[in-house]
Amino acid sequence: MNNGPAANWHDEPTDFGQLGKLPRGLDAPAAAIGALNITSATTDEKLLDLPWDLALEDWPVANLAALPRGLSRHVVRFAHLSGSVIAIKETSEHVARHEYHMLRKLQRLDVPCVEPLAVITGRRTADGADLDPVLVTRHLRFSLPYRALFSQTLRQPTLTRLIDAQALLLVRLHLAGFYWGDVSLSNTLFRRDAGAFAAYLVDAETGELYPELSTGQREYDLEIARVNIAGELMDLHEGGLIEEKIDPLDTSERIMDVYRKLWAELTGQESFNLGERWRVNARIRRLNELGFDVEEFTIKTTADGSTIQLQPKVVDAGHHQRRLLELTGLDAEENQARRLLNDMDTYRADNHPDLDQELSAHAWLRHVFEPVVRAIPRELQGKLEPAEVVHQLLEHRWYLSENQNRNVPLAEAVQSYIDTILRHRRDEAAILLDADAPAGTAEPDGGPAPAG
Amino acid sequence: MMATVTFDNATRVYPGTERPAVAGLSLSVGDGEFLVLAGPAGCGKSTVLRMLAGLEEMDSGRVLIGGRDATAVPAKDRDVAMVFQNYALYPHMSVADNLGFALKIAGVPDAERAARVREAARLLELEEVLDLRPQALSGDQRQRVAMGRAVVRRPQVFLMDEPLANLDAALRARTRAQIASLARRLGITTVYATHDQAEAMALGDRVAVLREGVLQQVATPHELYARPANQFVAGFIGTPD
Ligand SMILES: Nc1ncnc2c1ncn2[C@@H]1O[C@H](COP(=O)(O)OP(=O)(O)OP(=O)(O)O)[C@@H](O)[C@H]1O
Ligand SMILES: Nc1ncnc2c1ncn2[C@@H]1O[C@H](COP(=O)(O)OP(=O)(O)OP(=O)(O)O)[C@@H](O)[C@H]1O
Ligand SMILES: [Mg+2]
Ligand SMILES: [Mg+2]
Repeated sequence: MNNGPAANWHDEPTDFGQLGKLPRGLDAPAAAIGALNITSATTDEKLLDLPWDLALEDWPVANLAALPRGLSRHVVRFAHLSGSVIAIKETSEHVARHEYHMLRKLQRLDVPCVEPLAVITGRRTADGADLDPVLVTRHLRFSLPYRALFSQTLRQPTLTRLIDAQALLLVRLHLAGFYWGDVSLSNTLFRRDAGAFAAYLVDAETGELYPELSTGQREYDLEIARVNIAGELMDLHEGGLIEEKIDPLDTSERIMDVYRKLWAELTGQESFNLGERWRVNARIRRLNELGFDVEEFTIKTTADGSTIQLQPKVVDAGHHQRRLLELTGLDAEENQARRLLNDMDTYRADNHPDLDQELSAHAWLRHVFEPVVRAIPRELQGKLEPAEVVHQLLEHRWYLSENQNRNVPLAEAVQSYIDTILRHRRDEAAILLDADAPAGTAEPDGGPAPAG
Repeated sequence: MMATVTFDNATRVYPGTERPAVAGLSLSVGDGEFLVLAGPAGCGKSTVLRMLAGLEEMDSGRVLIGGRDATAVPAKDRDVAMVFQNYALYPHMSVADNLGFALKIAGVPDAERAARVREAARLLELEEVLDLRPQALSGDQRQRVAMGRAVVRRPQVFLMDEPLANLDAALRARTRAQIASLARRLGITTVYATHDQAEAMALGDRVAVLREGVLQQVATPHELYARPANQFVAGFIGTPD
């Protein structure tokens, strides 16, 4: 190497306390004139071997990685670097530096986003003409821009998952105090990973970071999201890239709706005692009903009670079913499986916080699942599949706990379930079997049918 | 339809902070006036625009639009249009659809939408290219389509928050000239925020200079040069070139 241009290589510390946008004017530490200026924390010298003296549009095919990209106003290209792929965007120096530092701040806040690698300025062609500075980020592996996802005739459920993932990303950004300013599907990357469907921020050009956002800042981002997503979907519609029946407007409304519900669930203040685990379950349930999974939660205890922090996630259809089968060998429907997995998580948090998921799943099978199945009186066995029985029992236990404002113990819940649900079910079954009986006489409570 | 704007002692303190981001702002914008809010980063420009749009709560004070107290009016009922900083042009949609799609979202009937798109195209000299796809446009034309998206909304007041900040110098200069002439032809009251003093002086009928949330002076560019109210204003606008 080093047949390239002379380069001035340094890193610029990120001011993590700085609010809002990167101030203008505070320019990069004295740029060496006539040399390539690389601001980067990496020391991969291979970076110098790339053809920085060419406009991105003229880069040789050998350097480029042909991967799908979203819409953009700037020229963006993917290139090979030391066995991995990087994304390069030509832009102004201020924008590049703003994004570089903003992405670092977001990474530190644990928000899903692309990883910044370098800002390169002082680019010149062989005959001395100035070229635009670039921002270099690491290509997010396995990520797809929405246009690539949508070009395979996209089914409605997948689109719904995408929108959910986008709403969740926006909630997480807002919780971290990040105002995006340009929310769109193009500025988001989607990734499927072990059943999860995750969204990552890719374009932080207009972003501002504060300790906390005002409602107005969040609402403005939502309005931008709604308009941009509707526009992006109308465009795909026009291009015949999505199913005719998908309605761009309805779909763009969904992000507002899901966002608002998620925000309410995740920021709603609720104090409770550690004994009131059912309250945690109630929240998880509400998030499940919204279409989210809760993989991790932490409970912070304060003098006046505890607050809970939930980390929701979007998963692919069938994820729970596969996961339950893997962990326990039980074959259940998706919703049953989700319920059972949630219970397994709670059981683990309460009893074996140090065990890994697989071992604690076995403990749960032995100490929760099997005892419940064994407690079912012989005459009622065979009414329902064991997984469904346990699923219903857990629902019942939750329902009792919520009604009575306390954690109902498992044994008590089992008895109540058998007496009030399972036996009753048998009656219903008998009625159904008696299909020839005239309507009305089959009232389960035996009430008289209205004359007529 | 009179679209004056008046801030009456408007104050905003962000959650978790003590110093107001905007403190006791009193300012009137005339009907059809192009008013520039200018000042360095963090002086409160965006906050003022959001207060006017109904997107930022005010801790005290009032805002009046067209002479009516709008303080309690929700954003969607305020008939002001905030121009997005970034725009995307959609490759499969015609220029006409790129101009009109926001009206479709807003539920404006087809016939009216078409009329407003034609009108905006006439103002922006885009009539010839209405049926083309964006790829066929020049950089300038693309920028005009972006402006046209705001024009078709025909609000009482336009709000523009640093619309040129991230453009390169050449495109910035051309677009600046277009915004100025467009605004005068439309005669729609406009509040325009920028940190760039040259932009402020070139565009504004009057310029309001803010510093740390406090209005320093509001006057015509000429007046600001001739009689800056204090050293900060003098320093911010520099000397005429
Ligand atoms: N690190 C990355 N990993 C994967 N894809 C990337 C990465 N960086 C950029 N891209 C792709 O390139 C596209 C354009 O990037 P980006 O949004 O930053 O450009 P832009 O010109 O600033 O866009 P806009 O017009 O929204 O301002 C993205 O939509 C994405 O598909
Ligand atoms: N959510 C928030 N929490 C705390 N402070 C905030 C918040 N939003 C804005 N601020 C502060 O309020 C002040 C005014 O911000 P505002 O964005 O209105 O300024 P601006 O003039 O538009 O700045 P810029 O030129 O950077 O866009 C700044 O000091 C900013 O840091
Ligand atoms: Mg982008
Ligand atoms: Mg601002």
